Amino acid sequence: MTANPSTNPTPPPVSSLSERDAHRLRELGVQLLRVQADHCLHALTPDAEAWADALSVLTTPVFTEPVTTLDNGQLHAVWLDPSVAADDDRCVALVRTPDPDAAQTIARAAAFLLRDNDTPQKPTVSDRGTAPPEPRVQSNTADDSDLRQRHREVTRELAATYEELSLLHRFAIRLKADARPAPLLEEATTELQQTLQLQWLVLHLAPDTQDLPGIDTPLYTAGQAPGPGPLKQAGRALQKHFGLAHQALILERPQRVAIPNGLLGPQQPLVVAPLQRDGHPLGLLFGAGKLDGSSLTSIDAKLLDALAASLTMFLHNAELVADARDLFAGALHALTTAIDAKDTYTLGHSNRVALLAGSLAVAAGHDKHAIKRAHLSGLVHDIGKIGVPEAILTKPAPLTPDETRVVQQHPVIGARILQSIRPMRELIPGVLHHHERWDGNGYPHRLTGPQTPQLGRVLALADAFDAMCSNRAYRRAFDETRAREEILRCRATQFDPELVDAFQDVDLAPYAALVDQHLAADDRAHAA
Amino acid sequence: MDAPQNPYVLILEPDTAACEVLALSLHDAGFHAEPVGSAQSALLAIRRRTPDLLIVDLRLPDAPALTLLADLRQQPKLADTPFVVLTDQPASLSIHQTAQLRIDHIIAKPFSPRAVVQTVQTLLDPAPRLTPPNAA
Repeated sequence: MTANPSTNPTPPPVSSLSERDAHRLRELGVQLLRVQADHCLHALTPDAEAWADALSVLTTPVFTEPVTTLDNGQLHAVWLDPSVAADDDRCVALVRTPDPDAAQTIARAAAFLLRDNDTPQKPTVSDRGTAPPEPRVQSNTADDSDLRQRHREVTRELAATYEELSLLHRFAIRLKADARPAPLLEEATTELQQTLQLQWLVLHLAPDTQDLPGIDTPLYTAGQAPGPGPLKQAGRALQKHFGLAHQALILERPQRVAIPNGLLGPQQPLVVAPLQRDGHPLGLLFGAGKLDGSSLTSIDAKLLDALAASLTMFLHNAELVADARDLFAGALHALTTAIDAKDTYTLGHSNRVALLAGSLAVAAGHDKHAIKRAHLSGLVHDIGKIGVPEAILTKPAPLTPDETRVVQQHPVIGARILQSIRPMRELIPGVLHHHERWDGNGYPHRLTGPQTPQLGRVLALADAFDAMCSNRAYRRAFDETRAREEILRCRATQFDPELVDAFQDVDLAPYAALVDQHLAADDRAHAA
Repeated sequence: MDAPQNPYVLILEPDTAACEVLALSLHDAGFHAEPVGSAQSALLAIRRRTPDLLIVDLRLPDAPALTLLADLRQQPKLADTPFVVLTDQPASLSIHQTAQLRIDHIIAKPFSPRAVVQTVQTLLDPAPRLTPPNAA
């Protein structure tokens, strides 16, 4: 018996095997594969071309391992993907073994394994037509066609789900809490209009939502949308009727809800999806007309709903972020006002130190976040003075040692106050250390050189400069030139030398303007 | 049904559902689309008929996809065939790899079937010629 496919590709008989035989064959096949083998090919197909294909594929160097294999890594018993075999009415098993009989047996086992894998058996595998006909081959043509039809329907539904997934995925990666609302809403509307292939689509925002920061218009349109006037009118009408609906709707007769004339073609349906959260309307999406002239379907409505839910979440988050920012700004304002109220000699001091600290951080090349921190900690750096008696703060004479000790507690008190406000904790290094000195003679911790956090060193210089330029209870102000000279004189004794160098580049014009503004306000306060 | 002369798109995508979705979407758009699930099946299919365009997922069960693509590019009949790659990690493909394999388009997963069809249509749309073919 030969096992050379090029001379004899006759298939082996497999038809008369019982279940028990099949089981034994399978075991045998696996055992045989454990035997050291050289090479031997055997086909379950008489198709020489299929053999050539199989060989060419299996000798392609891209495979890291045989695709479907019974082997132990040494031998190669491979059969090709059953789906290919099923399509092409051929079934190939490729076996490498030194023994032609073994190859034959393995090929039979492989054929049975294929059959177990529910692959339709080919007539070519049977023993010259004596095999019993396979039920699958004989199956009813009508059933097959029903099945194919069903398969297509399911696949089309699946395709719609893929569209939805893809749209939501693209949108979700852009949905960050700090995403700028206007571009995001615009892109979302355009993306959805293109995915749904609508003639036009509109996002109409409810009045409360329009007021959110970063939102510039109540109307975001995509496609060949009608003019803004009729759209706003339609948006308001739809909002009234469907603003609190729970899901998207296709309106077959939209004219019934006071849609302005000319917005839609005769008998053109409209699809509407509300954006609402807990009975609070945020806006709605509405659109009309499929570009290919087909009708709007429940799949369109479903996709619209999916994106409406994401947009609702985004807008709700934008509201929360806006609230949090307002609250933070309000708290900062309240704190600086409290400091100014305590010590009228330092009116506007916090704002000026904030301006100087921010400018100094810019000149020193600090990163964006550090610049922002310098500015904000300038605003609150003296908050601890709330805990120092007013009599000491405004005393028009040098302080006694005891009084000095009390005043020197204000950075520690300030740090303690901010500790309880989480978003302000990162400002503490500036507040706690703005009276440390480069030479270690500052307070409260007598830190030297770079031991003082960078924010503290920036604040120290900004605070000292403004103090020199301000009238204090116990002395008149320096002018700016003299104050600059004083800063230079204290380079590397009181101040970080690098910051002193950077300070030379700070433009003091905005600072001078702010001083003038505060002086005018002060005069008005005294005149009143 | 698609006629044999319709552009032939071979889809190599081991995720059966995704593969079927792509095949039907392309079929509906007038292409002859053939779905296969392994590099092995793809190589067999290519031997039978040279595809006009190849869609390949970067995760294959039986071969490293980039090695396969490099091997296919070596075949003269596939030297100019558009290659479209599907991947859930588009950033993992370097510009160098994309250029070397001459990958024509990268599609991020989860993909939009409609966008894939548009990509295939664009890539198979005959580019305007600089000189008329029959210019004397």
